Amino acid sequence: MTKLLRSIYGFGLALIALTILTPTVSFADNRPDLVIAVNKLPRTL
Amino acid sequence: MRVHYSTFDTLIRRDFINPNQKSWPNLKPSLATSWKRISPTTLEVKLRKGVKFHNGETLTADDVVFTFSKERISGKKAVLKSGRRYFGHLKTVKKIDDHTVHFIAKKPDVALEQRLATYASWILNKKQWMQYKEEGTEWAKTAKPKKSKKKKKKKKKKKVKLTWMHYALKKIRFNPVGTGPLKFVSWKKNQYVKYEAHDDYFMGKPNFKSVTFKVVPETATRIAGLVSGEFDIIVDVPPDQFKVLNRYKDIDVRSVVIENTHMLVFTPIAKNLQDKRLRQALSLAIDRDKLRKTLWLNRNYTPKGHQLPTFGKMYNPDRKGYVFDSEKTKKLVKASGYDGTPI
Repeated sequence: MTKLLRSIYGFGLALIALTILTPTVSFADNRPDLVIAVNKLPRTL
Repeated sequence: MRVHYSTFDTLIRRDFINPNQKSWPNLKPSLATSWKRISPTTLEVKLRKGVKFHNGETLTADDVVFTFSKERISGKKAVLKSGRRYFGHLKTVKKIDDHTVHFIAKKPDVALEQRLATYASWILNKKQWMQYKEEGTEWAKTAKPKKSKKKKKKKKKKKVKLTWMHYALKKIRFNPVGTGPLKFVSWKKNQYVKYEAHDDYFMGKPNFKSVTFKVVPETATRIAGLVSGEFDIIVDVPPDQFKVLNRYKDIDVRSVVIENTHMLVFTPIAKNLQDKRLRQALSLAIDRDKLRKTLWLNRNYTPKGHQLPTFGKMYNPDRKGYVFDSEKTKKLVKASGYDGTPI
């Protein structure tokens, strides 16, 4: 019985962790932040 | 200027990467999906559906009509000073439905489609501008034009009547809203301008998160920064540096011929340039091919006079153009009686 409860508890914890981590891991924006060096910029926008 | 091309879009896009250098420029759909002449003076333009501005608004014919309105671009008192150069001949821009617009010119204009592909045709968001109409109208009642810092010329300048659009322009100048892939974040004069990706961009989600254009005036510093990895891209690399950069396997050097013409303009004020023969001599003394080959490593060409092949049917390929003739130069200088005083 204790074993079963532990398994359920462990499974629950894993499920919570998965729920929290999934959005941050799979939807992380891995696109680069680019820096372009120019000799000058427009005086105004 | 080139930064703004990625903030705003035009109805028709000129393909600079695949230019058609023997005929009209290669024009491609952009915010317009198609266009056709329905009369010598009327161009019908169909707009792309579902295009999003940076502020979340959806593009409609109202934005196009506003962009080309008389008070903004084509009228005598238009707020965009250079607008009349491009669109002063427009009679009206008419909304037919939410995604169809008619450009009606006063006279037939063979270059209208090309004008719609220039910087004067960046499409603006009407709603962003209109939010300043009420307070701008109040402001215009008392506002006076800024005094020019330049020395007063003899000719009296016409007084500019300020409108709510001048006010809106002041407000919007540091918050540009377009439909392009770059969405404005921040700007520091002569230092940097930062953009983030416009993920709703109609040509697809950009493959970068942000782009910062950083001012680095020295060529050597730009090159060193590219080699070290501080910069991802650098621009304005002199052709004599191409060989240096090509030594690095992870650096790709690319160039394209742009339609900039370097001109020597004679002033009628200079007394010793009054003689036509001396002006002709100055033109004949320039070895354009040598300059081109030395400065641009033969990557461009000497135009045949003040015209380019992309003028299409208006281009004259038989025109002789500029020549280099040192003997004729000497004769003309002598004949002009030029005494050697500085010009």
